[in-house]
Amino acid sequence: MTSAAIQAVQLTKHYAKVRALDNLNLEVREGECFGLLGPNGAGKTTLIKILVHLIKPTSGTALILNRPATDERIRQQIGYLPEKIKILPFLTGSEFLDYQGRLYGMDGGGRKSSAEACLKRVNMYDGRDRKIGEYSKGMVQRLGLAQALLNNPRLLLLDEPAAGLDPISNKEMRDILLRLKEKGVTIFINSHLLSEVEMICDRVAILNRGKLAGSGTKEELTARTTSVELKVEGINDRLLEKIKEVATQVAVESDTITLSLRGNEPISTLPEIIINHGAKLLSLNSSAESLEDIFYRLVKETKDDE
Amino acid sequence: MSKILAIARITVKAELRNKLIYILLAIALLFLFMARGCAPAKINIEKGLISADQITQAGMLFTFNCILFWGLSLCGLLAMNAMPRELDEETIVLTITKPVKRSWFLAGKFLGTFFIVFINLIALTVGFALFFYLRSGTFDPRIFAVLAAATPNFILVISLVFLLSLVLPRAIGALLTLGIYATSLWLSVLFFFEKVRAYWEPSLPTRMLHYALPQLGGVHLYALSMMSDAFPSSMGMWSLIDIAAYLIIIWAAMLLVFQRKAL
Repeated sequence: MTSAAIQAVQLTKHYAKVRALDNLNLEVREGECFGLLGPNGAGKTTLIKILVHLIKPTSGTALILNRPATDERIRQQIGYLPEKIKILPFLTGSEFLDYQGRLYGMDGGGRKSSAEACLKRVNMYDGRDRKIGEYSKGMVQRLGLAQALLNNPRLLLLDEPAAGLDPISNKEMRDILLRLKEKGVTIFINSHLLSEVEMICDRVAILNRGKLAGSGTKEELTARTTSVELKVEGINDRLLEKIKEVATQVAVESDTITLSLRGNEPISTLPEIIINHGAKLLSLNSSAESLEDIFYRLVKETKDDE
Repeated sequence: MSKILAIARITVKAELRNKLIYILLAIALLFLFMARGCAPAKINIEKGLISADQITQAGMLFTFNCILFWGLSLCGLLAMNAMPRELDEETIVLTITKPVKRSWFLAGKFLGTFFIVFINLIALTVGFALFFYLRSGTFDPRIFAVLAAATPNFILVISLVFLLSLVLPRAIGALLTLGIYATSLWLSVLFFFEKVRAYWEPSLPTRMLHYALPQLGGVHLYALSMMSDAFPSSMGMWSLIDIAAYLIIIWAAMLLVFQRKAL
């Protein structure tokens, strides 16, 4: 059985007027690449900040590698890349990594070799002796990734890692993450970029307004839902009411009904419902939803529920 | 300990980039060299109103007080920026998310700030001793004892500004601390000089204020008493114990506030 790298149990965080996390239960298994998707303000950064103990939850428990997230010793095995990286601008890239290495308790030789390896890995070796204040946003982001990899972490927590990166740097970062994944490093990515998460992650969770709207592998999520387009003659209110019992996202435009089937409802129920309500089915087209469709639907559903 | 020293080292690097330190240093040096021009004292010596020893001692005390107050200003200036700057600019995040306790972070920031203050004070005191040696041909090692005795005050001022800067706007924290220092020094002058006490009986609120505030003034006068008999030394030990107790309270409060702070 694979042990959990991250466990959030009924995690709640209230700010003055906002409930950033609402009884969140989440588990990330060791060795997997997990993507947390959500629109801005969904609570993604709040969750990651609780995991690295930058903030305390109002209630609930957060465990990292089976230890409380508040235990600073566990951070010896974590690499963290914040959403907005702020680094002392008067240091050079090498000086900064040397400082970070000292905070990990590395000895002089270990610091130097790890820093050099990480700088090469993120393609920043040539800029190592320049002041960070002179770096571009993308360079700062890459240096941020270098510091997150400095201790060869078991768990990598990345908050919007693609922010500020050009397409080439973005691909380089993706390749680095895929290599780390192959080595068995657990990767937790916070992002609002669906394509990014889709390409790297084994499992995905969708967070909206502090609540988990859905989670699973991409295949599990897409298999669960089917989007359907029906052409029907004689649409009536009773028919629509019945359809809403088995489907979500029901929209009607002249004689066309589009919908997403709920849970495990078979598609064969739809013709039956249409005929039983005195209407005539002209055509039926179905397709599995893309991750993007699922994301928008689940986010909309949580909004509607409120 | 190595992690605390790493944080202290970065703090020193950051603080040395503060241009205000150099402006303050220039002002302190100006005061140091101004002590050369004590012309009225020379006239008084010629008139037989004051001895050469007395004028040397007065000059030393004046200049050394300038050094102490310069050190206090430096403490306030550095300490008021050390923590809030890290918090405002969010550079704290990549430090505190490493295997580092929050208390270690505070200790590192404190050590870095104190190191700069102490090195500056040592440099100025050595310069001051050299200056007097060149003028009078004598070297008075007591000035280093004065500096050592005044050190608890610097530690307390930095700690108090650290604490206040976590809960108040930074400049207010520094001004409040220096205000407490000035009040304590003024009250200590009233309380500890026998000649003043002969003419003045402190009211109950004044007595309460004196005992409620940290005995920064008491330590200040105790430090100066090592250089001159004109200053009282009788309350020195009590003042030092009082400062130590305040330090424990301030650090406990600071840890409590910082542990709960969302970053």
